[in-house]
Amino acid sequence: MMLMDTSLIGAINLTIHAFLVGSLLLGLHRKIMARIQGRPGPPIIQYLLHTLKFYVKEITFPITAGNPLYIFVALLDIAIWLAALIIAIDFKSSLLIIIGIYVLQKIVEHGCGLSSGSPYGKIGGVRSVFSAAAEVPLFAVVAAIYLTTHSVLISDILSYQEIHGSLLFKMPICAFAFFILLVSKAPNSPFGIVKGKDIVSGYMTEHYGLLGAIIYIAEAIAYFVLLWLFIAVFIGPLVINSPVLTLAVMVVMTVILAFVNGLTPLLAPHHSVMLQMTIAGLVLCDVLYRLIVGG
Amino acid sequence: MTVMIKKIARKKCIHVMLVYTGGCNACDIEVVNAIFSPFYDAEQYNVFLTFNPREADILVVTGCVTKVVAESLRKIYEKIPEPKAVVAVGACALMGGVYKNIGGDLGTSDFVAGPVENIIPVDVKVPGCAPRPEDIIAGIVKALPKVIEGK
Repeated sequence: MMLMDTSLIGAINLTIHAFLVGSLLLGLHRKIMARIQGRPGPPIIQYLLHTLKFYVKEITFPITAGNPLYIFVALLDIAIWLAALIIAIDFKSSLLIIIGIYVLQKIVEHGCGLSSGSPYGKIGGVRSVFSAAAEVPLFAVVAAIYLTTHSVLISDILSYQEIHGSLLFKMPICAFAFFILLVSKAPNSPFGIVKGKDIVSGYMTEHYGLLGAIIYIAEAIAYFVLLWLFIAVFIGPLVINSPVLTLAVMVVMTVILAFVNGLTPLLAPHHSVMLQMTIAGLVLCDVLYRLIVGG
Repeated sequence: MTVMIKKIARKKCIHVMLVYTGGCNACDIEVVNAIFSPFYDAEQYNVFLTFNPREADILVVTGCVTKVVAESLRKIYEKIPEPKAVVAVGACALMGGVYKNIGGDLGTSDFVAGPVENIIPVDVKVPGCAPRPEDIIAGIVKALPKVIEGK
């Protein structure tokens, strides 16, 4: 039944919507961070302009690049987030598929670093592997959600929340863990060690021009998808069924994320991983509690 | 239509990369701590600081270019994708400054390869020791046409 409601035109509209909204939200993010620093900052549309600028830059390839993989990882990046967008929002399908896609994101980051031949890219890629701790909270969060709603389908979770109310306050630890995931995905994050300024641009150091633009598009869509997921899973259908309300809540969340990122320093790699593992431990405790106590 | 889109895209998003090649750091301070600080905030005019040559549009070079850094400077220049421009900032970058003649009556320095235009082509020169922030901004603005129009 869900499949019959979707269409190619709808998917294309959704893609364009996600990219534009994601780009503007990321631009808003940067604007707010600039205001926190006491300066006007770039216009909100700037992320779109960045993407467009890189798109029209000269196309060259580093002499050290492993070309098939070098190009493939950029296309893979946009492919997986388009898939996540359609699976989550259009189909409202399984959270497990979304997690699989997020794991693929790690492969993209590692692949970017390896394929370029740049030592900075490689360090970014290795840090991405170290940051695999970021996935553990995801699995634990889904396990906890399953124990509460008895389903991993987004549509079922939305139905559950229509009857029993928002999960945000029923599962605060899981919501917090997912929020930390959003923090780590937002730009200039304290957990942003894979693209830290201490290693030039991290895994994206040698992905520039057209390939860089493709990755920027993927990141805008990723930001949109993750925000949508948080709203759908923890806030519920009251907001998610209305596109305007969803957009408003996304803006509010972007403001919150901008303040968090604007007021916290970049963590050292080992601190970043340690903190994420601690949060993973917290969620695992929550899962065990729900398993033992029941419901 | 394509050309117009290119110009709009480039005009609204300029990445500046700063390279320090020797000297007393005064010019670097003027660039980073003035132009990209809250007081002037070049970001509000769509000019962004980057340290990745692959992202850069304008290369800002400070310092006299010591021999040990000349090759690195050349490599950085080659890594920047077209269109690109180079702005040499400060007396040392333009002429070698006090370092070029650090030996005084004993002759020129044997550790200075500069000025910058001996190593890479320079599009705009900003004199001063150190130059005022307004002059550096004017120099970057003067380099914009080359970046926007392309070669």
